[in-house]
Amino acid sequence: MDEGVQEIIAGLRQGNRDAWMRLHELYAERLWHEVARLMGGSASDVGDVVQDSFMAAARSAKQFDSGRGTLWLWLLAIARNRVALYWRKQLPLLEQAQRWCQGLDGRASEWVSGSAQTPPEALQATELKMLIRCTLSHLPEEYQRLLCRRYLDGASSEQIADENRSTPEAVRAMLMRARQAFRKAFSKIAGCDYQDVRRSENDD
Amino acid sequence: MTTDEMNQEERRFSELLGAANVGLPPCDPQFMKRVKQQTTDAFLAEATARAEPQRSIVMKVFKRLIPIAAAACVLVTVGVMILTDMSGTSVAWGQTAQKMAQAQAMAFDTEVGGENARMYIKGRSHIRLEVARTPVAGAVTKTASDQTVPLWDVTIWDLDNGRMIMLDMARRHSAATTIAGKNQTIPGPDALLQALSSLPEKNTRQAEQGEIAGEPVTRFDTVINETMRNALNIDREWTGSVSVWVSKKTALPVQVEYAVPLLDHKGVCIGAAMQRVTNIRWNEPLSDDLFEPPAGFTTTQWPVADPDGKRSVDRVKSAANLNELGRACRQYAKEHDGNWPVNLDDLGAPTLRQSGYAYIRPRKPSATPPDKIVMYEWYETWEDGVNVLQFDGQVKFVSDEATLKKILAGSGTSATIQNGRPSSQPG
Repeated sequence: MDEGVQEIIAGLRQGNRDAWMRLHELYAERLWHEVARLMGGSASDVGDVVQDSFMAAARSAKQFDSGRGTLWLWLLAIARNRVALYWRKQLPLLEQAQRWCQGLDGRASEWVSGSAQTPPEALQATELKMLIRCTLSHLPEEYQRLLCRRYLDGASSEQIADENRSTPEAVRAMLMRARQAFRKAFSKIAGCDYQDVRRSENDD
Repeated sequence: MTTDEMNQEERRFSELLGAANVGLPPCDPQFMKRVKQQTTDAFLAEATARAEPQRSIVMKVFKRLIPIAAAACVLVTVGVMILTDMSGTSVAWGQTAQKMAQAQAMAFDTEVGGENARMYIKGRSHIRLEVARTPVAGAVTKTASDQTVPLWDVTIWDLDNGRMIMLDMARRHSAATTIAGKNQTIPGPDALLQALSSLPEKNTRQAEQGEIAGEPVTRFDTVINETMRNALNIDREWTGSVSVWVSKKTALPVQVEYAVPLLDHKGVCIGAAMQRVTNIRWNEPLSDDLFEPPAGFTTTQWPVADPDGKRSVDRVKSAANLNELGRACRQYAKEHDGNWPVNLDDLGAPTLRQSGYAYIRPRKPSATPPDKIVMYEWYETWEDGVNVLQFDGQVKFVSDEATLKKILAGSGTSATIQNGRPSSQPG
């Protein structure tokens, strides 16, 4: 672990003001970015979640246990919970997006399964973006991180393997499982028929 | 599936997910700076609040499991006590409280945790309402805060001589007023003195001996447990902590630190406020020069027509109430797709005073300019001015009726007057 991060952890346990401020400086912008892509929406919504996450972290910082993960993952896990709460409050908008998706007669399932290319106008649709973000935020933590790193940050399997002390083959296998989990979750959230997705995969 | 097919599928998947990565709101550095300050306060408040139980557990273990160490500890304590007696007078909290009750003037520097002055005022108002019990009649109080409090950087009250001046260092502006009548208790900096005077002796214990600026001091720690009734009539308990450093020579405080939770209008904790008060001087004479605006400052003279000083008290209270109403309205809008309440009854916050205000509902909140007036104190006859609440939450005092009318005419909307008053514009 980075020596600077270790110092921050030690400082947090002692209730040290500088340690908290350094943690904030180190992760504030990164957390904003992570939250923004799981939520989209307005800056004020993202700001509320980021603020709430840091506030919760401030209250529990003294109990941080480095044996259970890194400081960044701990902060991210707090933010993920807040993002999940945010999506629970967006039900009317999600229902609107579901209706949009259901009006596509199963084409969204083909896009998600990869059996058809998503047309550019659909990629710009707010409804699709919302469903993708909501799906991502509902995935298990490791799948979410992996998909974001690979497809949003554009990192290669080799890079991810290097970062996680794994092998590119293992990363690719996990990516396949993560995509499968994404499709399943997307079908559930978007109200599409998952059978359609599986059929199209089997057809491939 | 062939490798080509797998690559194609992955490319399509990448395109699809990439859609979620565009048009994201950028990080706002100013906002993050405020979050940093606010969360630092919460972090420190939590650290302070936890220190007490941890000490208790350590002491229990100490007493039960290591009696020899405990005996040694007693010997060390006796040694410290002997040394203390040699270096200065020992102090008891009761003695300090008595000395403070006899004091006629105090001056101090203060540093407030949190850049948001409204939050600071809220924290202070809790200290006053929930902790302060003893009015300090005739006290003269002077404060000089640093620039983390944007409303007024320096406030000097001289209650004995009925005068007050406030300075805004950034805008180089001062406001001066006279407070006719003596022996007033005002909701302001004297809350600190009241809060200190009312700390219960049984819960205030000596924690440490030390030195501040070469002067031997004793630190007293206490934890405040108070209950606040929220808008739903549910009692919410909150805990704050106070540390006071008392001079052994004078038995009067020279430094104070406190941390209190910030509660919203429903009584839910939304953060914490910290304040450090240093360099406390007691019974220091106030020079007349202090009440002259510094060179280069513009000055507003607030006319005061109330001989008993009641109006200045009401004005401060009303400004704080307007501030809370504004906060409650913004919270309401957050929970109702950005729409502001039709009238103030919709807020469901019976603890806030809602009568006596004209409310102008922003029809299109997203297009409303920040300085648009959304609420002001209702009046039938113009006197010395009214407090107004802007859309961005700022409370201002408008002393000129023509200015108020001009702003209201520009808004192009009519006001809803609370408390069954006629629905019309003033004047």
